[in-house]
Amino acid sequence: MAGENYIPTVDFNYDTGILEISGESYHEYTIEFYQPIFDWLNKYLSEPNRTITFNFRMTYYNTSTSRRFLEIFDILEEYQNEKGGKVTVNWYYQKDDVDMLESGEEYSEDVDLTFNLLPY
Amino acid sequence: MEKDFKVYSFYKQMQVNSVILSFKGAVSQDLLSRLAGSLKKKSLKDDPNIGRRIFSIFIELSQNVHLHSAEKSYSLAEDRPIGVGFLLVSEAEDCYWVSSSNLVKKEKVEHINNRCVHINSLDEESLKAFYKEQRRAPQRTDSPGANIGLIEMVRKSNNPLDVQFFDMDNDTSIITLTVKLNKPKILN
Repeated sequence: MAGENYIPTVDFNYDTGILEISGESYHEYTIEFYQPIFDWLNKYLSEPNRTITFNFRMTYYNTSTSRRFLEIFDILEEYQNEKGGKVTVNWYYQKDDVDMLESGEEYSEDVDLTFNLLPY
Repeated sequence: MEKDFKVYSFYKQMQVNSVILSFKGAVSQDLLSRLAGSLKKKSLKDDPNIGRRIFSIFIELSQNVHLHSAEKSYSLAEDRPIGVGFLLVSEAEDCYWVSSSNLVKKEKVEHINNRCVHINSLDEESLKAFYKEQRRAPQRTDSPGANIGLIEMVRKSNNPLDVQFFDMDNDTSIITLTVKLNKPKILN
């Protein structure tokens, strides 16, 4: 899925297990917008023992999106705990963006996943 | 329009108060992305962190208007009624102001006001805890919003929410929500 200025770019690779979401996300109806993403993810994770790298490379997202991201992390955490998955989250932030770094830190406190906070 | 309304004085007031952006009308997704884009170009060049925070607060206020304004306009593009309101970003010597204004049903005034008073009473740590708790709470069934926008605005600005209500008619009020963002102090 290619992004516009309020819709993120979503690139999920079925074969490599590298899932990436990047850009801006401030759609007003994120429940509807993110539904296909959750559908894909749930189908992908029905197979146990996958190794997954989830890259977040966001420049901005609204509070509505913030809930959807937490839901993604919950799904990944459950996959790791119950289906033998190995999940790594790479949270990228522009090196001067203190708020984006803090947002990544706060997610890492809320779920039990390997989180790398990576400036670029 | 009442006959004493003067476009000139309205415009002059905006000039004198260094208004960066103002809009009144239906806050559609498409319009919001255009306004936000122009705001980003203007504000990011000074200080990237302040610019990003203005952008973020502007989006949250705009989406509150879109979702919660009691005045709606049907959008063909979005195929649903969307909120009508007023958005304003202005600059002073030591800060920026980001505001929204829209109609609200009187029965909702007390709840909104109580929520703002509660959020304004919290220190940084309690605000973070409240944010996390509310983000974890189940999605409200009557709104697609995340219910953390007001908290986010205070966390981004480090200033209290300025919320005010004015009577419009028997069952409607005007709400104004203003967030102040301090500019970084320049040391001499």
